[in-house]
Amino acid sequence: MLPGKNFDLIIFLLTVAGMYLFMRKAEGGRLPNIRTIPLLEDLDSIIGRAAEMGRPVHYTTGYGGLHDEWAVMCVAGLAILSKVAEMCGKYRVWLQFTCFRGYLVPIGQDILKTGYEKGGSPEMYTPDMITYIGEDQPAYIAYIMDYFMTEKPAVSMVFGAIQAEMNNILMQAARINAISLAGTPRLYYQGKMALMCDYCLLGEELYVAGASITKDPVHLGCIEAEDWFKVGIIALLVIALILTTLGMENVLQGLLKW
Amino acid sequence: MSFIKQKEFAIILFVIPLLFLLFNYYTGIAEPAASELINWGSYLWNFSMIIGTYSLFRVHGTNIAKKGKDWSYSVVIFISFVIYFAASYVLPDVFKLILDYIQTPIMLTIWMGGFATLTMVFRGARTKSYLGVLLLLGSIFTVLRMAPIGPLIWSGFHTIGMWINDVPNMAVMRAITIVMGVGLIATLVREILGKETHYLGD
Repeated sequence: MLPGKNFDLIIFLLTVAGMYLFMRKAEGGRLPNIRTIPLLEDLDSIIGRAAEMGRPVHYTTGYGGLHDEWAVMCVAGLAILSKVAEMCGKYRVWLQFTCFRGYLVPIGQDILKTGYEKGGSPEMYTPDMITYIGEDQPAYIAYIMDYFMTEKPAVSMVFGAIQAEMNNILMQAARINAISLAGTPRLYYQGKMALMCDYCLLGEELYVAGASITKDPVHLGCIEAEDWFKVGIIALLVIALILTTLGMENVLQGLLKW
Repeated sequence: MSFIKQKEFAIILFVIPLLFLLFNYYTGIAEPAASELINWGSYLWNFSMIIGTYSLFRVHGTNIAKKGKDWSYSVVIFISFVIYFAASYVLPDVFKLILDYIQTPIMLTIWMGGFATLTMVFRGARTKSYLGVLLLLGSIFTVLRMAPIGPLIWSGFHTIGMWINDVPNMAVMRAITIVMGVGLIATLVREILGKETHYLGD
């Protein structure tokens, strides 16, 4: 074992074991209680507003895809897309999904088709609802900004692993007075979301929203395990604080170098 | 069920290499093999380019043949592809010329308005809640800390800006990083155990 990796390994194994146990617990029917998220509560009226205005809803999952470290955010974004597609089918609203990755096109087609069927308007779905511009960020941003100015969607939604495109999308949404919804756990965009959006999912709220929409026990179990993991992290921080205050930094350093 | 859809195939391709990389991370005794395994990711990526090129030709070829929506742009794609491909192998100087004087300026146009991009946050700001106001004030202090004019107006901008950067900003940054890390571990566990039944799963 490499020095400095033992403590790391113990924490990792404990996390994995905890997640497995909570997943099993959730699969056994004991689902955790998830607090209500305002964005999901109001989704009905938000899509309803688009229907009243006769304008489309624009949705994108941002720069990140399923092949990179942001896959988990993209999956949560796709879970929310399925709910939005169903609502758009219910209210007969055009939903435009712009994807950054080519492999999201068939996935988006599947989600939108199923969503419109569930919503009771299968005839509304067309493959034109999914746009793929190419994996080039300036082109992607330019297309969305142009779409906003020409089609003037009533609602703009950005859920997933978002990068620099967030500035442009949220600003453009503000220019056309669209309701702006966004969510990402990515660090640098938390403040921007809180400042520029009507509704936002900060931090891990995106994962929670994705899990509560799908009601998948495995995902819900993971959410509960993650909460307990955070309790563990706080406990470790308190222990580290006490040890440092007592002048026992050596114990802490030894543990980290073990 | 085809061979490619069998669960065993997914396990061999995904779970075993993943566990091997984890084993190497903690022990470090299989470094050359782990590096080679990571390199194979790049090799596979190159193979996917062949499929991508085939798809590109098929989709746009069909669009031109059927005179579908915006079919003229499909012609542009074909012409661009042929010019790029030919220039990169036959005329490297022309390829560099295209890259430097056509593609790069086009790509940079969207970023050209540097000030416009940076001020988008302010122009798009919706101070509908006290949190929004708080954030806007925080960002004003941070901007004035960085701008040369800030300390000239009031020296307190530097002190307050530094405190915002070092204390609340740092705390939130670490919290969010931990949350992201736990989310990744959760995905890893679901994948290894075969519990991921969404688009990352089987």
